[in-house]
Amino acid sequence: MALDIAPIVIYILAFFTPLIITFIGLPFHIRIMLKKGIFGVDVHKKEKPKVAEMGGVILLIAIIISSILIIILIDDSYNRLSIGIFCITVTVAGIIGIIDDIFNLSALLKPFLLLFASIPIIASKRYKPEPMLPFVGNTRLNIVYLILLPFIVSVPANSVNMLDVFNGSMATTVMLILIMIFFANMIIFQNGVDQLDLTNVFVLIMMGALIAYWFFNRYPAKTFGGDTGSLTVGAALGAIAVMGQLEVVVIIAMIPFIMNAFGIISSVRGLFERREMARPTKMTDDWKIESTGNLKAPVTLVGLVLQKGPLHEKEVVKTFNILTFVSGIFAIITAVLIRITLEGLL
Amino acid sequence: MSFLESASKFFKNIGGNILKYFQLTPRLGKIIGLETFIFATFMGICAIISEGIMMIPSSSSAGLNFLFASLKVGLSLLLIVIWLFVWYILTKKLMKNDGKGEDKIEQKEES
Repeated sequence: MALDIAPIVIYILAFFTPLIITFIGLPFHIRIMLKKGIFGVDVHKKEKPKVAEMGGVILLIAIIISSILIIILIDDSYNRLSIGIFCITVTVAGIIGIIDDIFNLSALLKPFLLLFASIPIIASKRYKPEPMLPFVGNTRLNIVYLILLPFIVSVPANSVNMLDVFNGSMATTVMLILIMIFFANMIIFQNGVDQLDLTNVFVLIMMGALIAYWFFNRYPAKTFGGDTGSLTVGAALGAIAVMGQLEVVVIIAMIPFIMNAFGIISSVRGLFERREMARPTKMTDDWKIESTGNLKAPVTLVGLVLQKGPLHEKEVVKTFNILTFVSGIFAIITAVLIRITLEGLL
Repeated sequence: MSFLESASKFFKNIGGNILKYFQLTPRLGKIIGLETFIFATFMGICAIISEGIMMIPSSSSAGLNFLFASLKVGLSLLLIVIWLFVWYILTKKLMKNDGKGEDKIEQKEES
């Protein structure tokens, strides 16, 4: 039997449970991984330190445990199932990430498998085929939406994976997107803290986990999230977009991520794994990052940022944050326009 | 270290970080410009859908109504696909320019 707990308590638990689990779990994970020899070498540092791999596993565990806790605590069966579906979707993507980290999946197989991550959402009908557009309001897409839905989960997962290349870059940029989603959701649906809004629950779960993860992944990183981390986080963004009816807002907020993915795909003419491609960057004598100028290397957002000269790794991450902040502002403007449209003022 | 000293150090760090962000922003002009263009064109598409495509009338006949609805969805999707394609082409072009710039630098170094 579920307990009748105030939504504000659920929000607090949704934030602090993954935060605490990740804070406690990651030091153990780092120790175990280094002991077992599962580490990567951070090529952007002079000392070439060994960094524990697959930190994303702890993120995934934190999300699963937090979701289960909230399912136990809330009263409404529809909401319980929705949280369960969110958790399963993220878990499927996380498991694909674990398999990729261990066996190195091909660049085509990975996005293909990620299409299946949306099956729980489709099977349980936890979507509304009515994406909201500014000036237009609610649209009705039914069949078209169903065809596009797998991509709404797969595309963010892959694009987050493609931008997770520097210490702390994935955590900070995705946290910025989550903050913007939180505000956009409040603007569009205007739910107060006295009502349980599942989008806020999902955002808070992800924020809690990512803040703790950032402490261990920020420069100089003690752990890499691996594909497990980036696919988990990316799929969560996709699931939040679909289940929270915020598809357009999330796409706008993710402009830098999609731009980076476009650049890579267009330059190497197809999908290739990072390890199959030539390196687009190299280190200068004073350990800054500069473009290699190799024509066979993919042209990425990093390449664009380094156009005017080399930058330190921390500065590159800061430029990513600036770009995500700008797209986040656009996402908020989109949300305001959607709200105005829904109120019939446009 | 006293509380006041640590607090002042903390705020100096934050101030320094914000300043670094401002210093980095000018070099991102082109990319921010592209982001703005992508956003503005999307808003334009939404306005076209709202003021143009949505004006296609509904019909009392079920067959015709389905046809009109399909036309609305089809045209809107076509606009979105064109938008995505323009986005793709512009990103590609911006990044290719980057490549050319590097070639020139390399050639200069070789000569």
